[in-house]
Parts: sequence; C-alpha cells; structure tokens
Amino acid sequence: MLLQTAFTSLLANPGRSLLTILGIVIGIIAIVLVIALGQGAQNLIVSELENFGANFIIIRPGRQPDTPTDIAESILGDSIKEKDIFALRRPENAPGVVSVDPAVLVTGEATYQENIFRPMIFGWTANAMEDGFGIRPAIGTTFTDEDIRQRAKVAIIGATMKEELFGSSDAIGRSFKLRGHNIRVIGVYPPSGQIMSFNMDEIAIVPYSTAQKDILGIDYYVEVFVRTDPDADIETVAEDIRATLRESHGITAAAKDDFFVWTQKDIVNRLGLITQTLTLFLVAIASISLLVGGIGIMNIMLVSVTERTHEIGLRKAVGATNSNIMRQFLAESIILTATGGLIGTGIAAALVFIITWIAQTQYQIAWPFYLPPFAILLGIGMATIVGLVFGIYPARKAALKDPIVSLRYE
Amino acid sequence: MSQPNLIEVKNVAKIYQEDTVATAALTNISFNVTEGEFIAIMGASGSGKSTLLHILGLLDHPSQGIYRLNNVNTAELTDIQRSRIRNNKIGFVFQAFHLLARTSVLENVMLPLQYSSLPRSQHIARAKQALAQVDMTHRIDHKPSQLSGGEKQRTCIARALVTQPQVLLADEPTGNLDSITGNTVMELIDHLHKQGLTIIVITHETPTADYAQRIIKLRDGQIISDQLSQARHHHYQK
Repeated sequence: MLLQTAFTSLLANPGRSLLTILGIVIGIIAIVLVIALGQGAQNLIVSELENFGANFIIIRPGRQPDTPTDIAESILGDSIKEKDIFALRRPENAPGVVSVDPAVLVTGEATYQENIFRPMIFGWTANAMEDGFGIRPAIGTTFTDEDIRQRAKVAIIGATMKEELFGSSDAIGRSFKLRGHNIRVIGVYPPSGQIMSFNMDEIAIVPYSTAQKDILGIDYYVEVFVRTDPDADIETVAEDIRATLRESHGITAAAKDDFFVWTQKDIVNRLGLITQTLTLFLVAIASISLLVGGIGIMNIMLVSVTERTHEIGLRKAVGATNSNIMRQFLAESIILTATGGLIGTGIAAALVFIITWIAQTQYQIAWPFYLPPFAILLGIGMATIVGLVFGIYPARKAALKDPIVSLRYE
Repeated sequence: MSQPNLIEVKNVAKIYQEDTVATAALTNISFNVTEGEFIAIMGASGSGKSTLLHILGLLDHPSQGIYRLNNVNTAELTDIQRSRIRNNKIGFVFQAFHLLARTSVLENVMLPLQYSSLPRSQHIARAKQALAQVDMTHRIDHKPSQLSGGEKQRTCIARALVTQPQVLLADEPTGNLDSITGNTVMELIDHLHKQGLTIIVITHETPTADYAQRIIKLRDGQIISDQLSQARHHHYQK
C-alpha cells in the first residue's frame, strides 16, 4: 500500500520526477562506468599477462616502486648492466632460467625520404618478441644472436610504421634513419593491434646491443625479461635471480637492492592494487554528482511536502500517525533515487557495451564486455541510500506538520 | 433508560499563546453528547466553533479542562492512540472536501483504511459499502474534478463512514454548496443519524443547524445556549 501510494504520488508529476532523478542517474552512470571499465581493463590486462605465460620474470633497475621517488628511480635507473646479464645466464646461478633478454627503449623520429614516423622502438631480442607476444614477421625475417653480437643496424617493424614510412612499396632491405643511424628493415610484423597497452603496429624491434651501444650510447638496460623453465618454481627462480644480482652488485642486505624482480603474480597483484586505488579515487569524484543529485531530491521533496500540505493534514485527520507520513515521503524519495539507480545502471551497462564494442572493432583491443555484479549492486545501493539520507529531512518535515494548520493551508 | 455519554466536555478552554499575547479561543466549555445524538454547534466566525471541533476530533488539545471520549480522558492518550481513535472512532467531513485530486472516488474513500487494521482484501468492499450508503457507487472510478459539489461532499461523507466510526464531525458541510445541494447533503447526514450515528455539525447557517436535535451556540469562545432544536421538533411533528 505504501509503495502504491508512493508510486501514485510520483506518477502524478512524471516530468518532474524524471528531471529530479537526472542527477542521480548521471552520478550512478559515472560510478558504474568507472567500476565496470576499471575492472574490465584490469581483466583485459590480466588475461593478456596470463597469455604471456606464468613462466616469466621481469627485472627492472631501482627499488620496488612504492613511492613517486621509487618510480623515478626505476625509470632513470642504470643499475642493470651487461655483467648482470652474463651472471643470470650462468645455469649455476639461477638453474630455472631458460633465457635472459635485456631491453632498452629508444625514442625518436624514424625518417625515410620525406616520410616521418614516431615509432616505439625496443632494443630487444627478436626471440623474446616471438616468445612473449607470439608475433613473428609476416614478411622478411628476424634478427639472430649473431646480429646482436655484431650490433647489426637492422629492425623488424610494425605494420603501421611500414605503411607510414614506405607506403605500399616493399620495405625489406630499405633503411630508415633514426638518431643519425641508418637502420635496415629486415622484417615486417603482421597487423596485430593493441597488446598490453602497446600498439604492436607502431613498434620497431632492433637488437638490444645496437640500441644500447650505438643508438643511445648507454651501458645499462631498462628492463630484463627472463623466461623460466615451466617446471621450475617461479618464486625459487625469482629468489635465485635476486641472490645473483645482489652478488653481482655487491649488495649484502635485501633492503639495499637497486633492482626489483616481478613475477606474473607480482604484476597482477600490483595491477589490481593500482586499479582499485584509481577506481576508488574516480568513484569518490563521481560520488560528488550523487551528492548534488541528493540535494536536488531533497529540494524537490521539500517542494512536494509544501504542495501536499492539505494531503498531509487530511491523512493525519483520517488516522495517519507521524511515522506513517514519514514512511510515505521516505518511500517516495527512495523510489525516486532507486529508479534513478536502475536507469543509471542500465545506461552505464549500455555505455560499457558500446565502449568495449568500439575498442574491439575500431582499435582491435580484445576487451570483453564485463559489468561486475558488484557495480550493479553498488549503483542501485548507493542511489537507494541517497534517497534515504536526503529524504529524511523532507519526510520529517511532513511528519511534524500540524494537521489543523495543514488543512487550512492556502 | 438514557443513552450513555459518548463525549464529555468539562470546563474546556483553549488559549493560544503568541509571544506575550494570550488569546482565549474557548472558555469554560462544558457539555455532554450521548450516543446517537445529532448536535449542531453554531456561532459566527471567530466564535471558537472550529477550535472546539478540532478538540473533539483529537486534532488539537485543550489548554484546560477535561475531554472524555468513551469515558477515556483524552489528555492521557499518546499521539499514536489519538491517531488510532481518529481513524476508527471519528469520521471527518470538511467544508473544502479535501479529496485527493489525482485519485479516484473509490481510492479517496479507501484512504482512511490505509491506516486501519482492516485486512487489505476487505478495503474495496468496505469502500464500496460506504459509497453505497451515500448513493455514489455509479461514480467510483471518477476523479474528484469530474464530480459536482454535492457529489464531492457525498464522497467526503463516504470517506468518513468507511471505518464505521462512532461519531461524524462535520465542519460546515454545506458551506461550499448551494442551498438545494446543501439540503440534500443534510438529508443524507440526517439519514445516517437515524441509522444510529452520532453527528456533530459545525455551522453558521440556521437551515443546516435545524437538522440537529440539539443546538449549542457559541459566542466569543463561550456557550451562550444549549437547547433542543425547535425546528427539528417541528420537522418531526410534520
């Protein structure tokens, strides 16, 4: 009966009811969207990491990045050098290690004749690319360990880079200029889209030795990818790597490590933490719109209480108690906001679907549609709580109205 | 054997206090109402008759004196108990009808049942029964805006009857009606009285008051006369 009365009252002014819940709808859309997209992005990256396999370890210079200083240290760190690579490749140091592939990152413009392109250039091993991402050149070949030893100025390039620099003509055997060096194209990757936040079509892979010594002129690596034996215990291998690097760096205590080692599990955990923190932050911002929506609800409910003064007086005269009136107006504000929550969640679900569809079809990102049940519950739950909190004051005001004054109200 | 007292009002006063100014709306009001009586309370505007009706209807509290309903001192009732009594012992009829515009005649009549202990399954039947008492069954799905003044007041009376109250309190029931419609409404109220319902009508119109058995006249918050209606006596003799 209470709900029926509330619905009747709200449907008496459908336009106003709809406008009233607009703030709630927008707030809930923002919250559900942030949670759903955040969770979806996390799932996407985790699934790509899982595709990458559990038997890999990443080593980076600097300290475990827990603070902004640590992050800067990690980016600018120069503690991992060639001797570390040799040490890690010695089976007696880390028996579970299968391959050690150091990497450096080169920035700059690649030019060919009049054409300019800014690729993401990795100094790496071609094998690591193939093992890690399962991508091998569609045209041409890959570079060898000998090329790495010889610091050959060769590259395998992504499909977009090939298109931008060389157009439809054959790229194999042609050289582009990078930081004053002529780099000869020996392979072109097939169109592969976005993998783990890298657009594989815009990358170029050159031998890490070439990138490090000739192009950048540095003696350190920014990252080392370690493949491990699938049968080996990954944590044991990680510990062996730490011990090897500590010995190589003359470090006696773990607290003084100038490198850090991440297994797939570490990355997933860290990613989860970052995503959750970011999601929480964005939800907090989106909640401001809920607050504004709630104030709107309170305002309209106060107007409604004034407009329906006669009705309140009448209801009291025919036997309604203060709590009957309070419940009636609270039910109305909760129905308003819960409806806003439902509409907002529905629109957010549609938006998530559209965004993931665009990501899949336009950007070739394998981002599956995912609407966490938690987001739906939170959206509708928060909307309901807003209705309750912001409905209390108007409902109380209605409940405390004097029936005689209300019946006489002009 | 005389009928028991339904209402006992003893030395009731109502004083409105605003800052330092005290205004007496009622002074030293005493009277009894027996079950089945039909009383008219008459007086000019500002005589205190509406204030008295509000006290009798448990919408207001007396500042002094005792008001007993069914031998219960109403000063001892909690707000919730007062609401319950308003719901199941008292029926209100208002001059301005106070019908909910967006709901049908039937839903308007069912309104008091929302707050009663009557099972929901019986609400419609009870409301239809009340509407039948006022000859309004042909209008149950209409909205108040589609009704004439007389029909609105009959709906209002049906709403007052739906909980089968002991007493009907009517505040200027003919005040918004033309004289012919007013008479029709008063005939209806008189008919309900003849069926045993206790009626108290507030009015400043003599033709309306003439339907009552007894007329209490107020002036400046005081009872100036309390006597049997001669017109009623005459009416019955006819």
